[in-house]
Amino acid sequence: MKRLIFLLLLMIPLLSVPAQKAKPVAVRTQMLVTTDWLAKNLHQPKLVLLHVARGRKNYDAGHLPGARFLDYGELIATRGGVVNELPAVEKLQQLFANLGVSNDSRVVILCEGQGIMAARTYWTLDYLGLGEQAALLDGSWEKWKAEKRALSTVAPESKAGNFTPRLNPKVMVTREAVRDVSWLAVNSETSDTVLLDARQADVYTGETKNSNLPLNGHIPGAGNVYWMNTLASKEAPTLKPIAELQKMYEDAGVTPGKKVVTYCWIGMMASHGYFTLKYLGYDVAMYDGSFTEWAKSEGVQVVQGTKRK
Amino acid sequence: MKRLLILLLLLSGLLALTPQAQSKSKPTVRAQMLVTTDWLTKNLTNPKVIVIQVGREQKDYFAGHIPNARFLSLNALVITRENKTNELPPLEKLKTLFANLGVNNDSRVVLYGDNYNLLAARAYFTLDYLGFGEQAALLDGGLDKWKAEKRALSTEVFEIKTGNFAPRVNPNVIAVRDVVRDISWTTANLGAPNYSLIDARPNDEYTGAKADATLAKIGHIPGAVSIFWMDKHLVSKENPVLKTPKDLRQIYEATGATPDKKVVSYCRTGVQASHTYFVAKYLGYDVAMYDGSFSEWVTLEGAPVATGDKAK
Repeated sequence: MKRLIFLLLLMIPLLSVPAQKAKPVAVRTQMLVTTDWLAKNLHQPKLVLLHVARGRKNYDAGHLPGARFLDYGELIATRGGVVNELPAVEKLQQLFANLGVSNDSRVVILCEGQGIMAARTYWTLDYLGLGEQAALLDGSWEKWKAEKRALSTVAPESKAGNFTPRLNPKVMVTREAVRDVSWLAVNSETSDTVLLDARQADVYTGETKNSNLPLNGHIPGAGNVYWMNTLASKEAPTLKPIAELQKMYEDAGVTPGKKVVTYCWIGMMASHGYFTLKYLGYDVAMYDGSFTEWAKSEGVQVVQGTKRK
Repeated sequence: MKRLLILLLLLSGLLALTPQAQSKSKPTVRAQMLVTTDWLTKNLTNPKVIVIQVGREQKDYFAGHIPNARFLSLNALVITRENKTNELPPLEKLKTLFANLGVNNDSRVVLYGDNYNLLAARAYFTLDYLGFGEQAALLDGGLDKWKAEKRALSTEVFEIKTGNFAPRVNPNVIAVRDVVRDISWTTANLGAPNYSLIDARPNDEYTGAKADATLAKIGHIPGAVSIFWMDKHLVSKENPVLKTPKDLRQIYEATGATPDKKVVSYCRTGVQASHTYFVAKYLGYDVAMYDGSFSEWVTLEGAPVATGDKAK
């Protein structure tokens, strides 16, 4: 009896510690829904389903029942010469409210292509404080079509929602903070933030160049995980299994406990990296100005080749 | 026996839940951010305590400082970037600066300095950006109180052993202009859903009653409330200690900065706002500072400003 109590008392800390330790890398499963789940939940009254694309041609030809159309152009603005930036909050508030988003909505996002525009939409909603209630459709539009699931040409009811943005600026970092994160990644062994380039390997190394930029290569100290490599395939763009994703990011230096900053050319591919890392449980932010802004800035450095620094 | 087992299992469940329960509670005062003159007197010879006087003129420091205190010039702490004054220098410069002051990774840094600790608050903000906020504090009442209490002063110049300070980056201490624009709009138009925007300047600058030829516009950022740091934070100019947390909290909450809100502070160029940054953080708020502040805001094309006592 006494021995049993002793044993049980020993168990108490064992039970409580793993829960805390695992927290920083606990997968945020609510951020991703399957086509099966969606098919069953299409008529939930709180569901707002968004179809993101450039131009509504495909949407008009047949979309997921109840899906509302969001033109990607509405989600971005050019500011201070930097393309693909966030529009002002009043524009975004109106945009999402008009799409039917309310404070208690569950938003599911899909897009044409492999998922970048949907990920950028997620990031935008995360900035607006709705990240906890938003998810991507795994495999997006491609998977839904491949599975020959229901499509509709009926325009969904459009009743404006009562969406109130609760701003969450932690989703983004500025050039100055990236400069400091970069410096630490190169010069300090104790840096707690990993800088991650979401572009193709040959762009990261500088072999493939953008001739419009004065510099090519990557931001010093950055690791590289090309966003498309996190997908099962181009044709079936579901996310790879969690264990594979974790391995891929760990090989790039993203280990549990680290914070991550993603970037790419202009903040598109990086928003997919943002989404995937947040899904895996990381504390992550995106450098929206990305390499295009970095390369045009005064006094910055870049690195070419496969080495980080 | 079975009952005991169930009880213990229940107990272990409760223990596992505790951290979550805590994170939802009301913000609590971060007491370690402020030390008293008594505390400092007792800890002056503790090698882990690094005392730093932050000022404009080194001659003030030479005239008499707290024993073992090192001097940090405001000029080394801020730079002008793209015409904005008082911005953060690059991290590599700041690392060298604080390492040369003897700061180690296990140091406890105590700051005091000019303008009733205003410049010390700016240094606190800087250390918080460098991931060192948990180990830094202000000396309550600063040199004024220290002198009034006739505590030991020194004019000694001593050699400083370079520290092993290894900063991290904590970018969330800064709110940039575009974010402040969005906070201003939601605060003014949607009833401040989750932010409180606080103007740290004298009230006549907030209202626009005081003319200022150097600014394109006068007044305040729409949605902002006025808490002039010197009047509202300090007991008096003669006794410039902070008011009690209870009194400070009341002042903040009366402007709408209820405990569920995050705080963004601004002023003219980012110095006075660092005192608000310090006090709001001390009270337990999640806080950021708009370093560009009103002098940058008014250069923004079409930037709205409000005048008078009302927030919008």
